[in-house]
Amino acid sequence: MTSAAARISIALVTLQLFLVLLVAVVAHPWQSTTARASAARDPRIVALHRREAGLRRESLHVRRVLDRRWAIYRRSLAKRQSAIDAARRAASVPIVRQAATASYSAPSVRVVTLPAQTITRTS
Amino acid sequence: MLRRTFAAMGTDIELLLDAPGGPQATEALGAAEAEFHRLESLLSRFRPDSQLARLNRDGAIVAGCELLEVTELAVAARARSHGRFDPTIHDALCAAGYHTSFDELDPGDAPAEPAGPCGGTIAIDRELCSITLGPDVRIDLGGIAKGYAVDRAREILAPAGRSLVNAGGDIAATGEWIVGVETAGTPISLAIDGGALATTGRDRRCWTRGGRELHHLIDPSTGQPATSDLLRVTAFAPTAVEAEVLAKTRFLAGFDGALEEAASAAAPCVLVAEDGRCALAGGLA
Repeated sequence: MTSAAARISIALVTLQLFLVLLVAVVAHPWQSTTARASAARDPRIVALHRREAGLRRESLHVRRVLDRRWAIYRRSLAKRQSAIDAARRAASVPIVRQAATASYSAPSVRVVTLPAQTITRTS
Repeated sequence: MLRRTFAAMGTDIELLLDAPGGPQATEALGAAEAEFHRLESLLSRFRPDSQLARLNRDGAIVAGCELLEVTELAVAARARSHGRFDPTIHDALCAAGYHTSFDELDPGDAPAEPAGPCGGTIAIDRELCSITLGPDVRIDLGGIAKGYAVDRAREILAPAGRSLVNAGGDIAATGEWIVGVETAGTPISLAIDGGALATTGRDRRCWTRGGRELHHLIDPSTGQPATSDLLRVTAFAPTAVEAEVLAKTRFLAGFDGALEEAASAAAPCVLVAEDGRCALAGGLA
């Protein structure tokens, strides 16, 4: 007859072996390489990979086109802005000259008793 | 004296030019009129194809220089007036019933829709010429756009001679002109030498909704037509844009507040109260 301590040890070792076996069965490592190999062979997966790579290339190309167009737009915008500024400066020259003679830059207002030439009212 | 009148920006425009008739004067008057129509086509909130309407519809736009400049002026005025002048009153105006041009406004019996305080982001990028509005923000450039057009028309007319542009009360002049200002009694005559005058009030552009009389001067802090003891304010400034902003902010300040503000800023104005009182303020004499 075996002792109680020996029986408990045997039971614990058996339980440990059972758990190790269970983990091994759940992980089923013997299937992973097979599955990977079959997935690699699966034409649908291959097509998806190919499509993904194609889309990456395409998006890169679109980004490059967009960047190029954006740069062109920025350049033409700056050109347009400077043309507008130049036109404004040119247009303001005679006005500034006129202002010097017409006291346009120092406006004033006072109450008078003369008849009005026009009227201001709520618009 | 040459005079040309036409309708634009929902009001009557009058151009006065003190010059002998001739091709140069006619050309100047024609160019000034064309400028009004051009700016209206860009800055009107009632024209679906205008740049402003597109901005309000899309929330962002690569804008032309005029929309960019007027929006910048409006944003600067909002900061300067601590929010009493605010271009983001668009939705409040619509809620009050002013959703179409004033000539086509149907009084209707439906009460005005509720509206909250105005405000919201208006981001302007000068480098990209872009304007971006915050979520649910739409802008109205009504008065300030008219002032801008008046200033531009004055610039066009100035080389042709002494001139005055009057867009329904927003006036800009070169040289000396006598301008009448309506009061409860006899009109006052003001001699302006250059500069600009703008009048704003609630005696015109008012309508009835649900038995309540409403007007276009929105108080941005409430989003409702402003309650003020003033009936009308006429403000003087170097440009029509500034005069327009001053008139609106003085109106919201009320009679006593406007008197104080005009005095401390030395900005001449005529105040006409609802009860008939009339005051010359800001050193006007």
